[in-house]
Amino acid sequence: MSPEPLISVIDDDASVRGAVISLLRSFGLKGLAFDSAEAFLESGKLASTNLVITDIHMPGMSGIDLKRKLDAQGSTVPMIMITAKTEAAVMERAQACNPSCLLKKPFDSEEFIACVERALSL
Amino acid sequence: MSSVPFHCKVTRRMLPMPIETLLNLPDLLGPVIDGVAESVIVRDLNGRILLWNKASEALYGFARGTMVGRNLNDHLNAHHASTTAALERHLLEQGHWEGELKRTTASGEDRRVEVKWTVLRGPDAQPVAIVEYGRDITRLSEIELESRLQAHRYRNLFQAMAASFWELDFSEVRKMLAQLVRNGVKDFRGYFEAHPEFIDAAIAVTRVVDVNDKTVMLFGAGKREDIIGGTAAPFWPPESRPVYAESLLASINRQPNLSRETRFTTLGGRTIDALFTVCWPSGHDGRGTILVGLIDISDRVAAEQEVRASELRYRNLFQAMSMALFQIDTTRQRELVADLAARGIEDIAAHSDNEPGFLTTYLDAMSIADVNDAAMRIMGAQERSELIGQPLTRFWPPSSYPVIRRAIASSFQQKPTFEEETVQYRLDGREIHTLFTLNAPPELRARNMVLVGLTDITEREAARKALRQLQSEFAHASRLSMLGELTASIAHEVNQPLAAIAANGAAGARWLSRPMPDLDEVRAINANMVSDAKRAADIIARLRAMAANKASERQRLPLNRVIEEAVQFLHHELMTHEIDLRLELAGGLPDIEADRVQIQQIIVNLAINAMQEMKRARCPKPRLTLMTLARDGEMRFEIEDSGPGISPEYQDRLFQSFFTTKAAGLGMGLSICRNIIEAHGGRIWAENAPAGGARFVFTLPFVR
Repeated sequence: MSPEPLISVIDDDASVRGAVISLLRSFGLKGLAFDSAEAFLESGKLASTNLVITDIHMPGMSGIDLKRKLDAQGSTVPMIMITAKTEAAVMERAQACNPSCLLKKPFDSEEFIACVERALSL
Repeated sequence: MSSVPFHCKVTRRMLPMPIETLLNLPDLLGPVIDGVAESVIVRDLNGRILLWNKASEALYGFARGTMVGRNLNDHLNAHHASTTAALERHLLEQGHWEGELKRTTASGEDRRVEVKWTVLRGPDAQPVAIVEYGRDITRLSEIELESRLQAHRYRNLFQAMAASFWELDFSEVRKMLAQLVRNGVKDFRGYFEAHPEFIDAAIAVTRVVDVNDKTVMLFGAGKREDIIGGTAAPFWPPESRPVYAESLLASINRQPNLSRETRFTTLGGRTIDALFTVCWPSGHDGRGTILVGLIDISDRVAAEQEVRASELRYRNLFQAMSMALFQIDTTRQRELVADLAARGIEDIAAHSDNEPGFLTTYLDAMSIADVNDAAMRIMGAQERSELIGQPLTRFWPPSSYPVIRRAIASSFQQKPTFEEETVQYRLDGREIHTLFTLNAPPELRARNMVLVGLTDITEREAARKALRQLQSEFAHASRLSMLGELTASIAHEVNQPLAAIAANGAAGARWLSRPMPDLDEVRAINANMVSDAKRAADIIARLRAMAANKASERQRLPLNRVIEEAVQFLHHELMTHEIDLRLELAGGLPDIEADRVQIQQIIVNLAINAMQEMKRARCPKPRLTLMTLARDGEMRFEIEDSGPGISPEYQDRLFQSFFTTKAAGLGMGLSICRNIIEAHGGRIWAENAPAGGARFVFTLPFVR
């Protein structure tokens, strides 16, 4: 897990965002918080990011849109998608863009960390 | 006719003389006509003189021997206001002519000559010769001249009138009447009624003294002589006997004239309708002749019959119409309006606003003149008589008076029709919803009538109520159905804090299980967990009494039809808010696969939101445009309003749950709409249209 990997956390819900960052930190991982996909893209942190953890439904660019955009740019950064939505159609569309993990909120923290570790080891 | 100096009439008549005799026996004729004081000239149709008597020699100074064989008009240098050719033409057409000519005598002197020309006809009725009677009037006194001129004018009038004129000799009839008086008859009317044979006898002795050209034409005579000299009998059919009797009575009662419509018979046996006028020239007192004028009104009678037939057709139509029809007598209403106008009140509609009770008076002044069967049915009448004569007041509940007021306003703007839904009373006092149609074309108004049509829309109104009920139920069902979506939406909302709590819980446990627990970190995490738990509880609290999930039923649908159906549900709201709805639905779009009800709920929801926003913004001409189009391989639906648009501060939060700008709103509508659309694999967003209104757009994938 070294050198210290950078994880970008994107969620429009501040509580979830904060909790994810907190959880990562409790595992000794460094998370950077963004409240939208656009904010993340504009931050210039993409190059130094080792993992993106993103919500799917956000105002503006969705997590799925972001994944497609990064794929289109040729980026290989792994992505964990977390959604509060339960509709099958959404899950299907999310799964279709091939994220490292697709988690439903509320997620199991053990499963979450397993996903993170798996993504970072790749 | 009374102004015509009747007594000045000059009558001359040709002696009846067989033409053969006239033409074949000139030797016999010569001495006869030489004994006449007047100039007598006979000429052939080419104007060549055949006979020339002594008086003619004296008048013109030409000897008979000189003149026979010459052209009359040329030789005497005849002058008249008309050309002699025109006079000859008239003569041949009418068989006679009389007037004044200026002629030149042998000594070169100009003479004014009054002539009378008559055409002589052969056995085949073809004209063979013209007889002229002439009289020198050059030296008549001015008074005499004036008098002759008057007579001439009368003559021209008598001849030129479009009416048929008859001069009748009544003297034998007077003798018959005198005999009746001597026999003690006092009640002439009764006597005439009891003795039609007396009238027949009177007609048979009423001699025709003269008739004009119109009479000759009207009664189908070849020439005046066919009528003149005979009696009135051939022309008076028995059915017109009473008019003759009335004429006698008028004469006995010394009425100056009498006019009646009656019928006459032509020589050809045809019946003509005529306006018959008889007048007794002033001061005739049993002497001389009476004057009768006839105006052929057959055309008018035929026109009246046509009117009657037309009215009959109208009556039949009136009766046959399935719509309830009332013919309203407005005579008294007109008087009322005229009285008001006399008092300077022209604007009845305004007057009715200021005068309480006026409308009752107004309605009282109108009564039912006629009704058809449908009208009896609608009003619950068994007999026509229950309705006819009734003032309109009893059919109008005061709550419907505003309709009357508007009808009056419409009527005073000279609009021929007025139509509005209203409530009226039946005879039994029960209220019915009606479509009230007032028809007041100028033709009816001229006869103080207006036509009212009523359609019973009670059932329609009931149906409309049912529809409104249905709409309300739809809205309820829609809310319930949305609960399914709501549940999903709420799950999403609740899952957010739950996710945070779970993550924080795990993090807290990690911090605590370290050899050196980071209590500050744990404390902060704990505070977040408490706040997220509270947030979750708040969301749950908002659920209130919501229930029932409904499975989404997807089927293949044309989006345009789904929209058209949704618009029907909106009908009432569109009417209430007076929304100008425009549908711009593209043709030939592929189908979508969707839950019809859910998509309709979204459309209804978006439309109602737009209407409410436009109403709140007091939008002067609220307009709603619904559009479908295919773009980028997707179906696209747009709804654009003419309201103030979306405030930038709300733009981002519109689709969030519990976001609302409405005081009583739940803030779930758009959130649910978004859930539905996204569940269908589409997108929904809001923007401001270039024109300024709000535009909501959703997309749906085509069926593959």
